[in-house]
Amino acid sequence: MDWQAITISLKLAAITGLLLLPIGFALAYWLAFSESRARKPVEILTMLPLILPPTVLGLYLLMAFSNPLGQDRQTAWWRVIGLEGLAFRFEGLVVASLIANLPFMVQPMVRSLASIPQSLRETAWTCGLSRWQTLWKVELPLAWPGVVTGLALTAAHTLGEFGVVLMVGGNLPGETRTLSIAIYDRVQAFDLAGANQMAAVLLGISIATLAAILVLSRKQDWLGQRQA
Amino acid sequence: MIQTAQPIHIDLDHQGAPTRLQVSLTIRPGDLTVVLGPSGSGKTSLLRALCGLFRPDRGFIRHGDQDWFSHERGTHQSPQARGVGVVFQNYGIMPHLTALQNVCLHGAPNVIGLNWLDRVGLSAQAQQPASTLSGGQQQRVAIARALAQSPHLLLLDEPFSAVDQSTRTSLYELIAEIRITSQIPMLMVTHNLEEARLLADQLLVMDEGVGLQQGDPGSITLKPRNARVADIVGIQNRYKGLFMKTSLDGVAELQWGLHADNPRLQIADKGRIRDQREVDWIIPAEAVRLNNYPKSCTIRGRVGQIRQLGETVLCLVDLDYALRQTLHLTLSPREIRQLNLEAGSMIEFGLDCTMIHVMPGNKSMGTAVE
Repeated sequence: MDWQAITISLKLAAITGLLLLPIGFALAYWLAFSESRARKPVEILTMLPLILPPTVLGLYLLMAFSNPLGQDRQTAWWRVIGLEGLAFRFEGLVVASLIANLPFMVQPMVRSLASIPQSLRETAWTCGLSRWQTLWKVELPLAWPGVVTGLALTAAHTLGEFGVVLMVGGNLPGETRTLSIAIYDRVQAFDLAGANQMAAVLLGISIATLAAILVLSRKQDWLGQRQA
Repeated sequence: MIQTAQPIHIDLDHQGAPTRLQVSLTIRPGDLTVVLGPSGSGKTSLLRALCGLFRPDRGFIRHGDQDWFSHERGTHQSPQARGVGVVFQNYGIMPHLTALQNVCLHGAPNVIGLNWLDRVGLSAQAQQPASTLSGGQQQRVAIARALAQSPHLLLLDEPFSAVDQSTRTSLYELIAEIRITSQIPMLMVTHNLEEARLLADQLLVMDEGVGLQQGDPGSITLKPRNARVADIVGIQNRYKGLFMKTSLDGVAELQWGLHADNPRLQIADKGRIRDQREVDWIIPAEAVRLNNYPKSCTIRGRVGQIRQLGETVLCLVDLDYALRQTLHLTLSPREIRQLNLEAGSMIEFGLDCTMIHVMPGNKSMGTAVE
């Protein structure tokens, strides 16, 4: 059992979940309620990682982390935003994971928020609740099943992600070797028993995630919506 | 409860989406204004404009001397700033909160919330999740919530549609009591004509976004401005006719129907309708006298149908006085027995022609009265 890989996977899932939760919620809120013309194109971009083959996404990220504009044209801002040199590092995995998991976090939240009847939000406003108070007292509790589902799907998907991780991070023990990579590594080495043990861990985590989604979202499903 | 209630002055003109809106109205403290109109007549848009959820093109909404909305001054206060209590048609109950938390949503202390829940008869359900309450109970929670925020204006969108008759009666009493004790100006949208007549101090009849007529319900049902208003307020005895001036000053003739050989009634001429003008006219229920009608003209007819409608009986009389015309008579079962009426029997009654109300025909609807 590669405990180091399990630790990296869990760490990656936790960091991705925590970072993506506020980013994803803000994006989902905008997608659910904005009347901007940019809404649809942004939604399509958000969904792109779902459709794009992981290797393709991984390749583009790898290029972005390496030297996207060529040595002579490389500008300072690329270094400033911190993307340079992220290839084959844990931080690079986090950035890749944030992008790859965007649809898993955002889509359930968008569905939950959009299913809140407009009349409830308007009632809150006429009762004197500010937009922030409406968010905390009305929208967030009612969208809770979507938030839980988004978080759980993101965590589960991060643990199981293979293609993007391999492209961006490679297979460096203690740095970028996640559980999925470790399983692949064991199979390559004909250590099926070792691979099986780790696969069982992932299977257990997946079942636990699904159970958590079902329990948490049904418990507080005030609007009767069903999440994926 | 607020100490000094202020009147709400409204003058709105909106031509674009979602609907046209042309309304001019004042809601006085303690008055209940009822807005009556068919679906799509702009009632809900008016409500939304008043609570700040919809910004009209032009005009103003003024609370006392404070602008809630003024096109001229570029003012549009948010719904949060207006302090308007709203009971929406679909209640707007927060399903994740208890009944009490719903009532105190805007931050009112629990003791005030409990007091209002008690007044709407729901104190026992205070801690119950709102999602488990019946439709009628949710509606009462919505009413309690709107009142608990001590509003400057109370807006009620079909507030009594989902409650049973006994609850409805107690809510009518509650509204009547609030009008006296708090003096909150109130505006209610309803489709229920009886409810409007029962509760309204002022009736606003709307159609296609336009305020057609406003005034006390009694005067509107006796003297609707035009045929459309007459239809909306449910006047059944409306007929076409021809208005003809006579050589006598102040006296005109009204031809019943549009055929030249139809009978004529002698009515008052108030000088507002031109000679030989096609008109709509109505017979108010009070103008029909079944007994003692020496000063009236006499009308005869044959009873076509008799329909029992709860405690009253609707009697459809086919008039032989004017061909193909039917008169709707609402009588009590006792009157039906006394007159020995049944389908096919002949009936004679008096018509007080001084109460006949004549309106301009369709081509000039809304331009003149009587």
